[in-house]
Amino acid sequence: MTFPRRALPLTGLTAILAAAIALPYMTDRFIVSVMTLALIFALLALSINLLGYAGLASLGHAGIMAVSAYALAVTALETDAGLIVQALVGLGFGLLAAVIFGLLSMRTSGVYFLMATLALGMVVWGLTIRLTSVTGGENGLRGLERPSFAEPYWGLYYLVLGVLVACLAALWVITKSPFGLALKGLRDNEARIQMLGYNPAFIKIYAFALSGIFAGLAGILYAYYNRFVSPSTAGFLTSGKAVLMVILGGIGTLAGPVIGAVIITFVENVVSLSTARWPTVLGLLYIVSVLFARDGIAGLGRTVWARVSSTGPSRGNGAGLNTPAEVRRE
Amino acid sequence: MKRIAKSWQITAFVAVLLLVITACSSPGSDDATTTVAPGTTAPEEPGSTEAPTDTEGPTDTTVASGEPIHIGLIAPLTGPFSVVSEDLIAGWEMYWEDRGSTIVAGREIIWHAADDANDPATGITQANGLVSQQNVSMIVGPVTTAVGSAVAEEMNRQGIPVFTPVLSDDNVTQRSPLEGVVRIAGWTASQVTHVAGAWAADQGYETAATICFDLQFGYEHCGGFANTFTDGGGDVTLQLWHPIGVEDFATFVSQLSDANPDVVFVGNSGPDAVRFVQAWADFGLKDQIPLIATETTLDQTSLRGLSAEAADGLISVGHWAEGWDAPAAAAFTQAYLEREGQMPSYFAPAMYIAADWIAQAIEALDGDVSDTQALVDQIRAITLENTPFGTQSLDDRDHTNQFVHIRQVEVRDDGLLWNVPIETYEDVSQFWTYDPEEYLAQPAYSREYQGLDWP
Repeated sequence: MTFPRRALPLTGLTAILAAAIALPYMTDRFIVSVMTLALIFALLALSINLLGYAGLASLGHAGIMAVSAYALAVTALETDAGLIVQALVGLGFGLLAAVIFGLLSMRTSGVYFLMATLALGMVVWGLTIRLTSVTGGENGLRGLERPSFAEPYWGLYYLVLGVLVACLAALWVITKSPFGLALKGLRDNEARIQMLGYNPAFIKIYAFALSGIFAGLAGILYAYYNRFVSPSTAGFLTSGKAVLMVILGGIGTLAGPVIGAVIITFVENVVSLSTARWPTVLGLLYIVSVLFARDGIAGLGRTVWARVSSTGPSRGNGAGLNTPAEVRRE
Repeated sequence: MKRIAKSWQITAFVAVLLLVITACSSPGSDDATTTVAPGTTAPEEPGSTEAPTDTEGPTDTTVASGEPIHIGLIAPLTGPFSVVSEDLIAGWEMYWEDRGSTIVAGREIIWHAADDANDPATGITQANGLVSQQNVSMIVGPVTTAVGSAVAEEMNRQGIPVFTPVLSDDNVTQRSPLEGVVRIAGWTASQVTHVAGAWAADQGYETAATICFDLQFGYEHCGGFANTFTDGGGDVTLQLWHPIGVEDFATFVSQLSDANPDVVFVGNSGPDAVRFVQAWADFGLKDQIPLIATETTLDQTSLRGLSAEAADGLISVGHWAEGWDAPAAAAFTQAYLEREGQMPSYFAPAMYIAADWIAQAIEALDGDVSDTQALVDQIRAITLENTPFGTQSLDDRDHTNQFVHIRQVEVRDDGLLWNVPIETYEDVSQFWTYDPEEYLAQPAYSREYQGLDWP
């Protein structure tokens, strides 16, 4: 009985999940911390990727992440609210910020959308620096608490892993749903989608709102990780880094942003231990990926897999890996 | 269907196996207790550490009898502040070279530099890496407050002391003290600018205008000046604030010119400082209105980028003056010049003295740094004489009293610019001559509060 190729991705996923669960038992605090950070950024990258399905590249998502992180921090430090309320407030504000972002940028597309979201992200950054009485200015706000089960470094890791898996499942459902197809339709041809009776503006705002929930979750987890929020969370460098994670990993896939986030975070934190030239390593990585792996690493993986398996590329199965080219064929 | 069922079985088996293995043991080899005893976890063999970059100490002839002591240096090795890090690391290394040996009380000192990229999250991750992978017993650094607060809090949770000779935010040792942080060989913004304001008032200036970064850094530098200047009878008629990254200071300079004060005080750093000083000269104001700059504006990191015409003769205030003729300072400057080919900015002597401070503490403890409290207490007990900064000792809030100089830029025979003291104030505390309790009862310097009407 041959091992069915179709089910290999599922086995592979389960193996990866098992390895992820086993990570704290196999390595030390440092690697687990870096992985935690990587998975938090994976969540941010996934939120950007959701809009990427619609062909919208947002350069301001770190602003949404920062709004929810700051909302959590201010609630934690200024009120007696419990952890759950803090998280809900953070999420709520992140959602609100995302909807505002969506409303302000929905009439734009392409480069103009990039610029609009970049500007909005920087507005958030500017507010965090300037509203010193609320945000603590560039010193930020410190002394945040984590939920008690997330106090030890491996507890936080499992929390982040759990949230990420849940979000991946949610995103898989979203992208497979009619709404997800409408998003892809928006990217392919906005006019045609409109003629089919969909409202592009509504789709964009709804997508932004969903994206905002994931970015908000990333913000909350980031606040837990650092126990601290500062304006650099909202800055362009964070947004830009997240977009690069999506591109490196593969736009329009679910695995891509995660892969990209893990690679970039590990280069930043682990490669940097060996050399001060780690930005060069990152730069070379980007160049190589643009030249040889246009669809990112996930896309590269699919191409290799397709060549290796003689039955041709496997169709959309439990893995949820869908490149744009695949979708058009469907 | 049967085939898929089979693969499901295999998948499930693999998953269950892994979960069973992990469930039967507990994760991690260390925990977040606050009494971690660094140095008692399995340290590496001397000389075999995977030292990042080339930061290992020089080999020496004395044999180490105990396990090495690891020290973590956290600094922005990449990014806009990287030039600061070069001076910082050079100053640290110079101490160990001058000392001739990295062995203290029978234990070899091994340091590891980590890059915080001026980002708090990276700083925290790197600090954790230094603790768990390199077994550091203490951290020296970082440079900026945001990273410093984040790292200090994380390290405090693990019982690792943090020494910050460079971080100059007022409130780290005042209104928002950080546990486990000791500012050896350190300074604060207002510590030096209080002196500037008092000196300016003494010179007979009656009106002043200030221009500083529109950030906490700027509020503290300008606040210190404004506070003591008004105490001395002066009047601050205009306060300008500029963001980081101003390309063209024309509008600011013209506003200052229109205000026509007796003296202008400027508080910024980095490329902005260079551009401001250049604009000040270009617009002809250098010869019209006296300028007093804060330490970082006319520090060597700025002077290296300025022309003699623009900078010669400018007054600034600082706890470091590379042209100071005190023997320790002069010797340090000369040695640094020979080693690096340029004049030292204050980061270098600060790290040099910090290294000396730490070495003496370790010596006094006979090499036993396992008790964090004992180490910090020993640090607090030390007074250093004849350092490049002068005599150094800590006040009861873990901050160092400093010599503060009013300096003037001069052009040396070899064409390099340096700051030479024209007046020196000794034993200046972070509270100036104010009563600490009364001072702390006032709000922190901010855009709204500059101490104009106090006391």
